[in-house]
Amino acid sequence: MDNMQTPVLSVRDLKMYFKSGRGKNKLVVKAVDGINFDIFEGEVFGLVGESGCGKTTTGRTIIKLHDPTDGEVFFFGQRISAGTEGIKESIKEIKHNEDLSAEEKSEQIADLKTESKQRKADTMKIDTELMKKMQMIFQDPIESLNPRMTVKEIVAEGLRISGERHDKIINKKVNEVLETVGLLPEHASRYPHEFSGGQRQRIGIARALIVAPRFIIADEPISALDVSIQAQVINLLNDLRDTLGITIMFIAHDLSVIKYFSDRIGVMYYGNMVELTTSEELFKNPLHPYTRSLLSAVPLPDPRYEKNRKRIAYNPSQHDYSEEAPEFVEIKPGHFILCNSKELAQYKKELK
Amino acid sequence: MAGNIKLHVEDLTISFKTTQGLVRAVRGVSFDLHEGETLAIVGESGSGKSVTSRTIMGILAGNGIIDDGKIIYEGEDLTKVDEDHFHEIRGNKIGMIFQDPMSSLNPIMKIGKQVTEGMILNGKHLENRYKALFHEAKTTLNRLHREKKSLKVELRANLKAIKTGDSSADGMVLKEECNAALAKVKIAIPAAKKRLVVDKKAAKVAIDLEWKNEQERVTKLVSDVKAKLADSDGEAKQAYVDEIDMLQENLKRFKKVTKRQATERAIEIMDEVGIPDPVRRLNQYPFQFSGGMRQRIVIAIALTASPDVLICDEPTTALDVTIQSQILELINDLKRERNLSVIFITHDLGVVANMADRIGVMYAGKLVELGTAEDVFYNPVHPYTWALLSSMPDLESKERLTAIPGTPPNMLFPPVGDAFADRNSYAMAIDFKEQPPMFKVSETHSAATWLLHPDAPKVEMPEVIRKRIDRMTKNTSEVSK
Repeated sequence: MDNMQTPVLSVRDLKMYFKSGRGKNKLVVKAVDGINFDIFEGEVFGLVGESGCGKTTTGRTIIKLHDPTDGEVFFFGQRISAGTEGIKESIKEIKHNEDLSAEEKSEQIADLKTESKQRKADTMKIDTELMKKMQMIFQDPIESLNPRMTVKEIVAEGLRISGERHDKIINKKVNEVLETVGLLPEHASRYPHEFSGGQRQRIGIARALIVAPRFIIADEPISALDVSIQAQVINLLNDLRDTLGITIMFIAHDLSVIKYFSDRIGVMYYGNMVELTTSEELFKNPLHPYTRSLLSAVPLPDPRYEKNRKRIAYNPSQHDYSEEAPEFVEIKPGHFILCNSKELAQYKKELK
Repeated sequence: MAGNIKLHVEDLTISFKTTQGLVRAVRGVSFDLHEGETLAIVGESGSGKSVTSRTIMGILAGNGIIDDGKIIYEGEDLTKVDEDHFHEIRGNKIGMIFQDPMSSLNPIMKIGKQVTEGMILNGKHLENRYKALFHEAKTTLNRLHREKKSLKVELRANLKAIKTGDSSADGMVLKEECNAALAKVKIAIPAAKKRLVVDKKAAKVAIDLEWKNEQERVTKLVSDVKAKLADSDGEAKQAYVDEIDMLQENLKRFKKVTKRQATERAIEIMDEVGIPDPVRRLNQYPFQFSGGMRQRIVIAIALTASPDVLICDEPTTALDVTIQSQILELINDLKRERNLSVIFITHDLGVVANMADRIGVMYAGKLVELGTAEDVFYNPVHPYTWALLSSMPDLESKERLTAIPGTPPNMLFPPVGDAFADRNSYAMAIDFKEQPPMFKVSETHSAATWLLHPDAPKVEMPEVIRKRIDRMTKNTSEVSK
């Protein structure tokens, strides 16, 4: 794997907290609580987990629909967003640290403050060229298309925002991209309600494709679609990857689809990534108990197997993290897992 | 397999009146539901599976018309049962679990009230007995009214026929017959009305007497206990107070299901469906529950009336895999414990394999394949079933998925021939002209496709499915070894 050196996207210790209320009503929801991963050129990275585990928030934070609480996101080597919560906390710590002299304190704090400023500046910066390289496909094809805009207007919007003004070029590009996703040029003048679910999702994909992105975040693009239509959309995404070489981050909760479509899979549980490896490895050697539980719940179209399938229950209290906090470690090349050293030893034994 | 036929659906045809015309949602569906079995109905959205189940429940939308067909449950045709009588069947005999647990619960009503609501409304024992006493008289009257109406319609048709001269002598005879019948009914109606009044009065007297006797009995018991209460103290006193309380509660329970009784039962059932700490949960609102827990509440509500047929309309579509798996296990357990017959509606073939004893595949308002789970998964014969199976990846598939081209037909204009012909790569000329009948593959297995006609060319199922079935049967035989 020589493309290992050039990650398209790197996520470092990303945290996204949602806060509400004040004083004693204050509530912090840790939707994403420190996750790390890289996505490499040309691969499909699957993100799986139950609803509410933070997979959609991860996707939305990466594309800057949320500003992260802490951690950094690098896209083509450039930092596109970063949070400052961690820096604030370390400043507080330094202030209360009695071992340091006043001078040392102010020096360190000044350093951290410049870093914080830099992070904020990076987050605020608008780089159209870079922005165009990342696009998102949303879950619900009905909700995500403006019912009062024609398909052409919807699809061309991204192009207009990125500075294209010539109608001729826009028309040409819209027609091209509609053809790529399997729609006809004459569909351009219609409104979203005139299309079926599968076609609407194609419009959503066309909208993402028009600015020629290198990286697409697909947030459950098929879960709102009918069975017979799902295959059409998966095939389309597969073709896009093969012909255009687009890197895709695929968020889903359907394990059979994610296994079929992804090269590597990250399993999330309550804001943490618990296991990350290639899809083959994940299904062959699931190590984390949550992954096992998840895999045991996949229903298959095979009645005899189904009648004997035993679901493995997962109870987060089975981990004893009171002495040592868990870390995301590489247990074997390309296979990461969230555990502490005691569990690591145990998992290693199981791996053999 | 399973025992007696619990529910028999025959040639059910339903359409909806819309501004654009008649939408033919269900076009001649027939199946049997046996006691203690799970029948899964699979199909895309718009294939008519939900409409079928709603008709069985008697909650068809206002613009829905049952054109034809029968739903026989316990010897009664549910399509002809009037709304009054349907109250006794709906919920009590046939329960339903809806698709979306978010929208099937009232967001501003506490869970406890929602679970007990049905029990309290249905649990007016004395009132129900009172109604039962004159039920027969009432149904007779209703029947007579219906007869009068239909006779009038018939008479009008006959008169019209005579006017236009379609049938001369015959029409006159028919007209006479109709008139005679009508006269008979007209005489019978006042008599029936009188009988209803008399019955009602008698019923009232009987029930009042019963209630009075019970009241007197309990008052006597209470006064006995009160006498004892007067010359006791300490613990014994408390025991007597409790006893009086219990007696009074029992008196209320004689009349109707009390709130306390309903709450006790609700806690029992919530425990049964696996909701931890039900006593505290009763006082919470739906938004305080997670998706899976909410679906459990919906199941609990359906179970409060102890139905023997349970219709599950996509109960797990809104849930994710782990929760889905839990809910399916729960439904399976309940089915075993209570010997329920389940109609399970879904579009997820994986879920079907888990739940179903028998499977019906629906497309464009028709059952296209019906058979046991093993029949449908290991020996599918209908091209639509093939297409469904091959369009979903399983954990081992690598090859490109075969998507079903096109979209389902518009049921405003149902196709003349086989509805799937347009999207079917195996379609023959006859598929566009004539609808295929149900062909029998084996005792338990039948499908509606011309491919099964003796004159049709031999067509093998697609390679992908063949391979997958081989793989599955191999896997399972290994497991059984």
